[in-house]
Amino acid sequence: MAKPKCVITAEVMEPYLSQIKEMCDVTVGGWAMEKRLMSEDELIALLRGAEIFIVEFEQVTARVIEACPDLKLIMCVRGNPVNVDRNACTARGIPLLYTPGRNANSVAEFIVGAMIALIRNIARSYHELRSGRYLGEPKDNIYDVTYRDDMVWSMNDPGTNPYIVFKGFEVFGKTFGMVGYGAIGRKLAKILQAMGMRIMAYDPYVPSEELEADGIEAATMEEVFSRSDFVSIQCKVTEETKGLIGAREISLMKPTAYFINTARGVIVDQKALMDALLEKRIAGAVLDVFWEEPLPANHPLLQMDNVLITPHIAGASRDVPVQHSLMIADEIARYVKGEGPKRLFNKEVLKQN
Amino acid sequence: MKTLVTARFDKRYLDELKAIATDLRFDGYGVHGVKMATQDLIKALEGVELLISEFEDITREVIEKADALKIIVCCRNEAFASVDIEAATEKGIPVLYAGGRNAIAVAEHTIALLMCVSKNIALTDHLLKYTDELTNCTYSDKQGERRHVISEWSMDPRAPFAVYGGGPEMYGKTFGQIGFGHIGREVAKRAYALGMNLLIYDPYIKPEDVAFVNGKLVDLETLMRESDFISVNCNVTPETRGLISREMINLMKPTAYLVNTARAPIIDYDALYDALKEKRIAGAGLDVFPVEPIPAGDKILSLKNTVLTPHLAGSSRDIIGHQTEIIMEQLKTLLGGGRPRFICNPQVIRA
Repeated sequence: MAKPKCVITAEVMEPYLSQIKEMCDVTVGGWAMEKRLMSEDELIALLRGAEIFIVEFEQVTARVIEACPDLKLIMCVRGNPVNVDRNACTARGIPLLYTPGRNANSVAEFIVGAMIALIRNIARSYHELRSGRYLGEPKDNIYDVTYRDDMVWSMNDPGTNPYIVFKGFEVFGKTFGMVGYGAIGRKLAKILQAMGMRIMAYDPYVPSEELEADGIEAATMEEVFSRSDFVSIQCKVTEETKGLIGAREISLMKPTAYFINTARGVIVDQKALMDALLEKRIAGAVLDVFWEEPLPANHPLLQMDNVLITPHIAGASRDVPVQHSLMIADEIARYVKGEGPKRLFNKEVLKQN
Repeated sequence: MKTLVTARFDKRYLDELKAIATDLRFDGYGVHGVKMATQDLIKALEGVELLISEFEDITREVIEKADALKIIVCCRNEAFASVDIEAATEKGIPVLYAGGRNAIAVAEHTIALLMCVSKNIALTDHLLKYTDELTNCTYSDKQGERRHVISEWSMDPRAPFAVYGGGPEMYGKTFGQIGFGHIGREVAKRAYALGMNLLIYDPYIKPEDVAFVNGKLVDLETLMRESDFISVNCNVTPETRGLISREMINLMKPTAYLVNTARAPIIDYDALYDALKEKRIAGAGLDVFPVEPIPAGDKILSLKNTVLTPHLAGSSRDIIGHQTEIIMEQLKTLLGGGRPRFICNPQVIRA
């Protein structure tokens, strides 16, 4: 039997690419080859005769899907396949697969690191040192020292003693509240519980028994915002979650609490969050996503010491492509053997078959 | 017991203390933020049986003149730095201390430093806020590629996602823990929860001591050679001074990260600088330095693959709670006729 023809424009790592090549007749192109997105016409040309398409960033529109009658399976290696026209897939009876949780470890770890970096003033004091502050007199040979037992940076003037100026607090014993308990929330909860934090979560799609089995308090949105020391957004962008967090929710936060968003800017009302930060009604924030990216150069967030900002890199670990490659190799093996998919996005397609 | 408290004391434990201390007075550093002078301390100790101190200097003179004194509790990890242990021992006075009071603070800082350097958290925060490298830019969109994309920043091959992303996850990697005391244990516990495989070097512990983190005891060479992340958490002793030598640093993988929240003399900083500068290792998180404050213009300040903090790892407001909890437990054990875990001179209770 001939191998199915498979077109790949996503980044697929070894040893999974070789595994897929054993199962399929593979053509690699587009983003995977040139780091440039293909147009509709280029895609249609590349997909001629293809049965399986593995995509990451290209726009797979209804026109592309209609123009490729041989397509039987589309796999998008993303946690949310926003670039593929779901309805067009379903109309053609094509299962659209995705890779949920491929970046869950990356984002979960990033949240832990960025949260502590903010409350312990790691990023801030690092910047101060790089900028030449809190330093001593220049010395010819810094390795020529007599070691003291009780080394201190400076104890003479409390105003310039970094031990006092940058004194923070611990996450141990504090409460972490999650909006959304998906793949990232699950990874994150385990790490934070080991660090001695209490976890509460609001997720209308997860039964409270499941949360409680994981040692997490099932809560309402109001409870998460009013009782947490850290509130973190961990849901996808959907019609339901756009603007989900507004002035009412943020006004419930404790003045000592921190807001964390590594999901998407549009989930949070920009003015509501900015007002709370500017009026110091909350203690600070960790933000990796914004309402406009790149962030405008005059954005007030860029002036705030109590906000840690990073340029949308929480999910950028080098291990993410390995995770999604593992998942798609598994799905192709299932497809070749005639087994049903495990990571089906357009579940409604099953009803039609 | 007539009691003097000069330590910072967490009031949540006041009732517990009152059950022990009938005549209780607070003074000194814990109240005023300034250490009591020796003569004031000698006067304040008249008739006092229990002293709970922190930074006050409990010298031989103070101890010899305190006729009623029965127990000294020092709320520091390093009680020897404030209390003359020898003088106390001569008078048969047990000296209790707050072992591991800063272990959680240091462990959290240690893990976060590693994440900051391996995920470019501190660097990109700095670049965003204080340079225009990441904000004052536009990406071409001739083909309308990003029409449907909410996260514009992550798409362009010149964007931060490609340039500053790409760091390793901790999950599934190998963590090398050097030193397995109070702090080392807390760091290891967190590394284990992050899904890492632990290699541990500490000549004073047994394989069963590291079982709770599924750790493997190895020699230092193996640890340096095989670890993806390495943390140093041991005291400076003649044995550990220069332990992480140039030879040891040269064994590290080019993809490995090192964090030091212990003390500078344990590591050859000259060799570490060379390895970082020549990119023979991936990066470092450093909280301690050969000279503190770091001298202005020091070459270590120029490294882009290094996150520096000014000796902050133990600086946490929550330490008062930890030290009070620890010393109250030690005190109750001692008064109950038991053997406290954190005692500087166990020989006085053996007698």
